[in-house]
Amino acid sequence: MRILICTDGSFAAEQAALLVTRLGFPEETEYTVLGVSESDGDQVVLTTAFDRIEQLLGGPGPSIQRLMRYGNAADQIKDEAEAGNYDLVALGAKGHPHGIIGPRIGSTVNKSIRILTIPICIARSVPEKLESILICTAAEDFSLETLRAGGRLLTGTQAEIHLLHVMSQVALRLDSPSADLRDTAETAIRRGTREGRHLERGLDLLEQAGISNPVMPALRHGLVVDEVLSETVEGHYDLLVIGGHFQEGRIHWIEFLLDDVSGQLLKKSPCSVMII
Amino acid sequence: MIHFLWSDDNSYPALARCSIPDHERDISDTVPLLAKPVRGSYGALARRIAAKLGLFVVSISIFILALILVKEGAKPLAPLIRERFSVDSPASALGFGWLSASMVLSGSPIAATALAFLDARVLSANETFAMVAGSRLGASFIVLLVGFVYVLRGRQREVSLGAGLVSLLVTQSMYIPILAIGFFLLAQPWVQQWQIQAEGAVHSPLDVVFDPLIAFLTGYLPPWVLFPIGFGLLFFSLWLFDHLLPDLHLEESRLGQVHHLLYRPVVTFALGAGITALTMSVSVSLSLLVPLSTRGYIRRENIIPYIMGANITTFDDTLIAAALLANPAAVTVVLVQMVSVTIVSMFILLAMFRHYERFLNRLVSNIGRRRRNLAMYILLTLGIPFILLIFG
Repeated sequence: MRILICTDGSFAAEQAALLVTRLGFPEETEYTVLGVSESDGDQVVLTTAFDRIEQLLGGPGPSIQRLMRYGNAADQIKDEAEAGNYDLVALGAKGHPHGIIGPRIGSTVNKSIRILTIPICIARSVPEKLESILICTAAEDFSLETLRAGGRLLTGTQAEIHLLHVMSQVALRLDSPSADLRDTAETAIRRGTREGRHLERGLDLLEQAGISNPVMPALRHGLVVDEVLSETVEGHYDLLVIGGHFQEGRIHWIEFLLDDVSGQLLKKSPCSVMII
Repeated sequence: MIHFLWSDDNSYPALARCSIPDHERDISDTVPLLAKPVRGSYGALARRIAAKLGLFVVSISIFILALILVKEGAKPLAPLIRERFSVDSPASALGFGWLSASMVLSGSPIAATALAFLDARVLSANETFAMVAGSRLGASFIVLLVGFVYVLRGRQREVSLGAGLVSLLVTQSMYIPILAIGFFLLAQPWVQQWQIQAEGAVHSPLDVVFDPLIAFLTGYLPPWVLFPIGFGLLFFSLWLFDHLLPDLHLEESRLGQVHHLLYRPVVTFALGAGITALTMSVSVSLSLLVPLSTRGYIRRENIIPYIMGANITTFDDTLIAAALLANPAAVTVVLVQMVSVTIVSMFILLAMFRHYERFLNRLVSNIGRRRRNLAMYILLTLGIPFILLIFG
C-alpha cells in the first residue's frame, strides 16, 4: 500500500499524518511525505514538518520518502498522486467545521477533493484511538465500489464500523409502500427492500474486503446531509467515510447536474472524512 | 385505482392517465436529456399530430369563449362580489381567490376568472394580483384534505401526506414575500410602462367571432348566467388542454433518477420550470415523476426546488388568458406575479436553500407527527382565507 501525506508545515498537516497512523496500515506500507512550497522561506518550515511527521510515523526509515515541490499545492499534490500510484492521499483540514464567515476548509483541500481521483482523507480532530467509523452509502451501484475501496483501506483498524444509508424519499402516490419509509436497517434487511438488499450487499463487500470486525447497518430517514451529520454527532464517530468525489470516467456535465453531497459533509463534519 | 397526493390545478383527468411500471426502469447511457419522440410509423405520427392540432384549436376556442362569458357574466355580478362577498381590498381578494380555489379544487380557472374580473372592472389590478395569488394558495387544498381522510382511515402519515404536503408548504411559505414584492412592483410607475399602450380601444380579434354568440345568449338568458356557464367552460377547456400534453419520458433521461440521486437544487428547479411550462400544471408536472420509481418515491431534496420552478411556469395558462383578453393591465398583473415568484425562488435557491429545505422538512415532520397538528394545520389553511375575506 502507498500513502501520500501532504504538508504545508501546519499543525493540520500533522493531524493528517496522525490519522494515517491510527488507520493501522500494514508494516510494508510505503509513505511519501510531500511538502509543497508556495513561497520562498517555506523550505525551513517544511523540513521541520517532515521531521515531526516522520516521528509520528515511527521515525525515519526506508519506507518513508520525503518530497519537496514548488508551485500550487493542489496541482502538485495531483501530479504526485497520479505519478506515484498511491492508494490514499492524506491532508489536514484547515478552517473550522462551524465557521460562518471564513472558509470551512482550506483552498488546497477544496480543490484537491475536486481534482483527485483516488481516495483522499481529510484529518480533523484526530483522537488517540479510532473508536468508531461511519461508512455512508447511497444505495446505488457506484456505492458498491466505494464500499470495496473503503473496506480495503480500513482493514487494519480495530474500530467499530457502522454502515449507514439515508432515505430522503417521500411518497408521490397514496399507494406507495409506507413501510419502506419507516424501516430500520434490520427491518429493511429482513423484508428485503431495495435499501435492505443494498445494506446486506454492503456488509458482504466490507467483509470480503478484509474487515474482520462485525459491521453494524443503520438506516435513517430525512435530508441526507443533515441525517449523516446527526448520526456522526450522536454516534461520536471518529471518521466518516463517504463516496462521491470526482470519479474518473464520469462525464463532466453529469457532475454538474449532481449535488455536491461529499463537499457539504466535508465542510460540516466534526470529525475526519475519507472520500473514496 | 391510483391515488395521487397532490392535485392543485386543472389536471384531474390527466392524473388518471399515469401508469405505474412493473419494474425499475433501466437508465440508458445514451439517451437525450429530456424529451423522446413518440415511436411509431410516420402515418400514425401524422394522424396523432393532426388530432392534437385539432384538439388544440377546439380547446383554445372554448377557452376564449369561456373567458368572454365569464367577463360578460361578471359585470352584473360586480355589486354582489364587491358588497355581498366584501371583495373590495387586496386582502379580501386574496381570501376570495384562496377559498374559491379550495372549493373548486383547482387554481387555473380561478386565476383566469380574476383576470376576467379585472377586464370587467370588477377588481382593481392589486386585487386581481391578490386573487391570482390566492388561487395558487388554495389550489393544493385538496391534497391536504385527501391526505387527512387517508390518515383518518388508518393509512400511514408518511404516505398520506408525503410529497403533497411538501408541495403545499413550499407554495404557502413563499407567498408572503411574493405578495409584498408584487404589490411593491405594481405600485411602481415604471411597471406600467411594461404595458402595451394602445391609442384606441383594444379588442381581441376573436371578439368578432364570439360577439354574435354572446349577443344571442344575452338575448335569451339573464347576463349573470353567462358567468357560471363560462366558468364551467373554463374547466372543460383546461381539461382538454391536458390532452395536448407532449409525451415526455423522463425515465429515459439523465434526470430520470430524481427518486435516487441528489441533483443540484438549480437543476431540479429548472426541470420543474421546464416541464411545467409544457404541461401548464404543477400537478400534471409532478405526475410525470411518478413512473420514474416503482414505489412512487422522490427525494425530498429534489422535489422542493422542482415545485419552486413549477410554481413560476404554472402561470403560463393565466398569461395566455391575459393575452387573449387583450387587456394590457391583465398581462402586467400576471407578469408581475411570475417575476415576484421568480425573485423569491431565486433568493431562496441562491442564498438560503439549505436552511429553507431544513425548515420545510421540520415543518412537514411536525405537521405529520400527530393528527391534532394536522387538524390544526387544516383549520388554519381554511380559516386564514375566511378571515382575510371577512376582515380584509
